[in-house]
Amino acid sequence: MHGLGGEVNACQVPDGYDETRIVLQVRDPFWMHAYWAISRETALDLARELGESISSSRLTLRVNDMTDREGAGCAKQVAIDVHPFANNWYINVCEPDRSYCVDLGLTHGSDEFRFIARSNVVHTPRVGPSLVRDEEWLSIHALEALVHCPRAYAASPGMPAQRMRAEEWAREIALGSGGVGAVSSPVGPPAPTLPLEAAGRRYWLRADAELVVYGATEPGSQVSVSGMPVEAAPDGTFSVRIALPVGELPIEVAAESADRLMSRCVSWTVARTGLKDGR
Amino acid sequence: MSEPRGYLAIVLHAHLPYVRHVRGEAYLEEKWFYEALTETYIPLYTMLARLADEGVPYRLTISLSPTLMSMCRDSLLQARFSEFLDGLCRLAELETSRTRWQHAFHETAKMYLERFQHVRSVYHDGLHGDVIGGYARLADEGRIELITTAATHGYLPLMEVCPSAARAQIIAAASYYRNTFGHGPRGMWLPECGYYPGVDAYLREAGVRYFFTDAHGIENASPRPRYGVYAPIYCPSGVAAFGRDMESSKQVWSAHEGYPGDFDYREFYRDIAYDLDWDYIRQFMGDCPARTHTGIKYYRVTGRTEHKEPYVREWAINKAASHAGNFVFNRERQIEHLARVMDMGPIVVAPYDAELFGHWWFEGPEFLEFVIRKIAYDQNTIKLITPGDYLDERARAQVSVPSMSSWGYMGYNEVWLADCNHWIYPHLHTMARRMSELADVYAMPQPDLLRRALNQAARELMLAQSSDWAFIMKAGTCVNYAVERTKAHISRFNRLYSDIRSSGLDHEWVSDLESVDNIFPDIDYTIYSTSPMASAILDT
Repeated sequence: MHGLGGEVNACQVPDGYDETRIVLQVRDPFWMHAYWAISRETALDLARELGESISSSRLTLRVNDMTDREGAGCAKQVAIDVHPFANNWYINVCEPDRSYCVDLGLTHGSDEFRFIARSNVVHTPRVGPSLVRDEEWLSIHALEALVHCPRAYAASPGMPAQRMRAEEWAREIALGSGGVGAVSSPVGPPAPTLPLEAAGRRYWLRADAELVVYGATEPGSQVSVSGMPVEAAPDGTFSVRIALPVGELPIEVAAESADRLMSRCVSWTVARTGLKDGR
Repeated sequence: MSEPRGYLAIVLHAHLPYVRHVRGEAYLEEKWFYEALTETYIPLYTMLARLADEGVPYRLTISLSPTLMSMCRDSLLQARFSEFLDGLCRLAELETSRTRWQHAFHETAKMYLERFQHVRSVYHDGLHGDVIGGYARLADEGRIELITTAATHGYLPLMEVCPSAARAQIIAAASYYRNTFGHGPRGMWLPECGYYPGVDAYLREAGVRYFFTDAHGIENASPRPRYGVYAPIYCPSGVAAFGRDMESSKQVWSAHEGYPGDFDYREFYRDIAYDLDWDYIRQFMGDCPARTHTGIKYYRVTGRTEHKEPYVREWAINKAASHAGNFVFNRERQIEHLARVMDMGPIVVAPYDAELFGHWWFEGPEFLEFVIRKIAYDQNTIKLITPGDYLDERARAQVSVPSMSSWGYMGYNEVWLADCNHWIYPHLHTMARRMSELADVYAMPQPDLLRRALNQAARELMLAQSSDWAFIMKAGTCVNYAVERTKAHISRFNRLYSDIRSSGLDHEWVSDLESVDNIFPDIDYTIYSTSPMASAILDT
């Protein structure tokens, strides 16, 4: 008896895998899908911890907007109470082209949230053309030279946040930073102007600025930008994209030779002022 | 001939899920494969080989899925296909007698008989049963560019959460292609055009130079591609992305505006299986207790009515010629227009499911032949090209990251992630995680049985991941089969996993599984490893 009788009939699949986990996937620019499971052990812990109040608690998903999370305060959060026996949920989000993750938990007592698990982070696709108009044109040979730099994604399957790196990297190249631009050749005439369609269902405008700091030094050097270590490419070029908040931002680029005997430092201040927002 | 002003890349994607049942009752679903060979893959090959013999210049891109190639090369399915063809020829012979006094149908009946006999002789005498070898010859002769798709046509955007699984689908496909043709694929068709930013890194790792997205994958790329879908872009990984042109697509695909719905073309659904006496037809239904398509259909589309008129081959062929003329004319105008506003030769990428040509749209191969001939002899504006050739000729492209997209309904993931099929993902993702866990734990060379069980676990995972199952659950026909197949692979994987972890492998059971789910004999489970060391070894 080998269990292959009828080949595909009557195969049993388990209800679950006794793991505590929540997984988030993108369905389209405005919808995500989360599924979750709570292990027996986690369930017992929760019951012990919350005691009688567990019966009046609500299963809650907290949807965190992680888009601006890098270096800037708390994520925007929306809470959704779901059916106590639900194990998956379609989540509507109003704004496309954002990063989200979802926390699963129990809301009990006076709106206290008992965290159970956090999902992976997903990024919803944008609707309509990108507002980024910077162009960079490369020959495949130049691009291959870039890709072979170790700081390009080296295709380790478990690597987290790979998508973010790809996008950032594209932007870095697109912004024409001198460090990587050395092997590129920007195309001559400017892009033809096309009207920007309204990208969402309502009229909106988001605008922001970031800063690309780039440079080159002797190969093998240790480079840092405002105290943060930056990985330089084998040819000594480096570039890093950083947030540009309102106000003054001192930038200090430091390099130390491979043998640690020589060092140089270049610094300046960038200011962002005069925010206006009107109709 | 003067320099063309632009290029047309026709891409045919040929895929079927792996359906092969060693024993038990006959599975209706195996007929998908026999019908596709009879109606599409062999007629298409015949047409392309004839054009090549005549010296008609053309370049075409054909994506052959690893599952389809595996079925074509499987001796059991080859033998069954041979029987299927014999049955079809017998039925067509009976039909020529039966319709002798039915003038309206007799000519069509004779056409089917000649056609099936021709397919049979091409299959046995021309190809010696090796359909893939036939296409490989056309590729060697520089007529077509053969590419492939993910190993079992797994839908990649819904594997983003398990990167090792997405990567394995691509690496395994490239290595199957390499073992089959002796060199790696230049391009890859992403199943259902399903792309998510970052997946291109695995294509690059597999040595693939280009892939395709649906139009909005390129149009919504960032930074905004200057020429939209009419020039490829380079992903930051260095892999090129070509976008689908909606204009040429709609003319062929669309149910209402598209050519295949023309009233003179053959009606697909009016098969003799539903019109003739059960006692007459049942012997050709195999073991199937119900009426199913035979492939012999005597009516034309006629109109949007239940009433159908007899098929007139001559009218249909004339229509295919005039539609081909219209298609080429429109591409010329389109390319003239684009060439005026672009400072480089535009490329129009027109991808289609291969089975559209012949299976769904009976006159599709003739249409394609007319298109190829007209482009070769009747105009100088456009030239047929493959994406690989295009990249060879023009090294420069804009760098941009395509947007997550697919060519499914509404352009994203909702066909494969819906109420009726989302239950599969907790299983598929857990299997993928466990497969990587196994690959990491059993990293060193293993005793034979353990190694075989690990490889079999990889096969079961991949077979469960075929995008076809989720698609069928959503589309609503043959749902039961898709559900049972998915469950079967999940449960086989789970038992392999627990037997491996508890060192309780049953030799006989593993051997049995190997003969039942025998795809990818050379699969190497270590592609699921998450350690960078293993990736490095694979690279070399």
